[in-house]
Amino acid sequence: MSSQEVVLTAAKDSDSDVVLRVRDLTKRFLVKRRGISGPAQYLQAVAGVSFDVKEGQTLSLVGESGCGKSTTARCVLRLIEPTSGQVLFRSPQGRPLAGDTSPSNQSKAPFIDLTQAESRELREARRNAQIVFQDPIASLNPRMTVQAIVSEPLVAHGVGSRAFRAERVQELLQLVGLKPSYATRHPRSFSGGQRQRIGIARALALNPSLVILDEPVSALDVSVQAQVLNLLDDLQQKLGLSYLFIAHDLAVVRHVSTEIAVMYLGKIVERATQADLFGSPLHPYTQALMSAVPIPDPVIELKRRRIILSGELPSAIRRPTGCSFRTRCPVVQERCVQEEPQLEEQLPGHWVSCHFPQLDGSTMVTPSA
Amino acid sequence: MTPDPPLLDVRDLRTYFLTDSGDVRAVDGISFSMSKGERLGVVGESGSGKSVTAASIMGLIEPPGSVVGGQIRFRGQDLLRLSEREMQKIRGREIAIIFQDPMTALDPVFTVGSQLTETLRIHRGMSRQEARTVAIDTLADVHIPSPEKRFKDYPHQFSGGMRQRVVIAMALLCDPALLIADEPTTALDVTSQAQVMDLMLGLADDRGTAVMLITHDLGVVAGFCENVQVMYAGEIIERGPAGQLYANPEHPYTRGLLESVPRLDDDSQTKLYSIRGVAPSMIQPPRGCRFWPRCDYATDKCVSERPRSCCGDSPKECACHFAGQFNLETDRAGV
Repeated sequence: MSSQEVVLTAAKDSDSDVVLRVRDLTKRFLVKRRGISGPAQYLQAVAGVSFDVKEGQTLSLVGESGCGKSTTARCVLRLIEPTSGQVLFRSPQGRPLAGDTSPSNQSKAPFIDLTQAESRELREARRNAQIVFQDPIASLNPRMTVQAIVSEPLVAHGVGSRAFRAERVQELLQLVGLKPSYATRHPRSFSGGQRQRIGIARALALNPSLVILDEPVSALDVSVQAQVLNLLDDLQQKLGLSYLFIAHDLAVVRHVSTEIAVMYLGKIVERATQADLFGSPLHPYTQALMSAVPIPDPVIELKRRRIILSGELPSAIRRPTGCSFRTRCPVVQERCVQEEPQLEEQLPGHWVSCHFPQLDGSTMVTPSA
Repeated sequence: MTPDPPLLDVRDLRTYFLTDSGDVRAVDGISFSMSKGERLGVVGESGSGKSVTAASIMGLIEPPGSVVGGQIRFRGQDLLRLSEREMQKIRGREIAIIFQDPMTALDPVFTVGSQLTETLRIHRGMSRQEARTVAIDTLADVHIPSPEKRFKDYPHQFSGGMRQRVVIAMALLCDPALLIADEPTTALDVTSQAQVMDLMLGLADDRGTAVMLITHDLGVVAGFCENVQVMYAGEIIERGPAGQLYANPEHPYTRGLLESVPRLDDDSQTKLYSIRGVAPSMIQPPRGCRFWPRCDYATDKCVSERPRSCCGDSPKECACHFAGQFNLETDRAGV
């Protein structure tokens, strides 16, 4: 199936609940040029990625460092300019700020392609699509007070009076489980978990419909990680948020996601619902990844069969021919070298890009006797 | 027959850091021991004192920090009484350490080969040719592909996982009796982590090296360690054989930690158990039990009276007034 057909098939699905639709997104970075007019060398960070985020749900992009998951997230908001592809985003119209008393009128707006959007349209879209970053230290300006940090999106978009914004910040701090009195303090007086809450409050200031969470709990200790994951869950329920969740930790991903896309070297190699992906992973990479995640239980760990991948991640500058994973794949065959597999619907709703999907159903997640 | 003396025996170790606002009691009276070839997991969150414990054993505490009390006996000899010269002979040769960031151990301006051979020539007095052969063999041991070629490469030409494997190779060159691995896989991707842990397990088994694995990751410990001790606020709050400790944690903090991690083999998406609040100040830790401000079961006794600390004498210990008297599942169901 060509990628064109993939788009058509996907369009046939009911799409009334799709908030974000990404199609054939690519991003390549110029690495260097040989001489003045010599051939350019590119790093293909994102190599044709397609997915949908549905209203009120969580889609996770999961993969190891260098797989292109964060670049994809940034391309969606055009914090990095994508090279090609479509990013279709639907801003719900008239989504009020919390505390605003006007009746909510969330009628379905048409999709806007953010890659083609004029700056005004893009600004409007960014009111409705916000991002939380991984590093709660680097992403908060140490010279600003919490009040200034959290109200910054409101100021940037010219929302409300000073008094309104002060009130909104109080409301937001309470929403993320911080004391309203913290507004006058600076980031340095907070722990990692509290800083991440401040980052979340800032992302929610404009009452967005979509929040991109780029490794939001990776920098936190486990006891604090649980607090923040619970908070994100509460907020999703309360505010009807849609999440695009970027993560490397499969256990966390299993806990939070409705649907999951596994990325390897800039491509989605497998995409399925949470239950299908963890119940019967089909791609050998997904299986290896799952088998590598340690489970905090010595009895299970001693019985588990671990797939140790040989070799290293290939360079995104000189990608392997055929299947990107073939250099490390435990079930590689001649065809994989010659022919690049396409993402195909192997089982209903379960997409995999592999010539030899592992249909025998060994899950690796439960211990093999 | 008397039992073998322990390889490492730490008694009432205290390591404090002097700051303007008071002493930070990073490690505050811990006792434990390790036997030959034992694989011990030291688990805790940031600031619990696990890395300071490692640095204290290696004699790597620098001002404003200092070891203010206790003993660290290695093969019966108190390391705290040794001169820096004597300590240098132990460090690397008898006890080796690897860190989270492999670049702390690798010099970016020398080839990997020259760094490996230098160690062999200094510590084991080998000739250049001998050292080269051993170094290449060792690279092969840690599964570096085409080791003869990679011998001439610089550290930046290796991936993160390969660098950590090179560092492990380097740490094991002198066949130390004890390897301290301080968050060795925290900076690595999960597939590289699996490679590194697999390798460490194999090497430790083959050579009978004792390994102290320091980590925040309860999963990594589960697959590697025979015994586990949990640290909180500069103290060891629970210790035991891995199987028992995971199946039947007695301290509310250990339980909380185990309950709060999402598990790969659990498909529920219900709320995670979370330990409320944050770790206490180590300058003025709470009186009584250090965990009481965050504990769901704290009583007046916990606030006023410090529980008896783990002293390292019995294989399973727990520093809690009400050790093992909780049942998280039924307690929570009742809420």
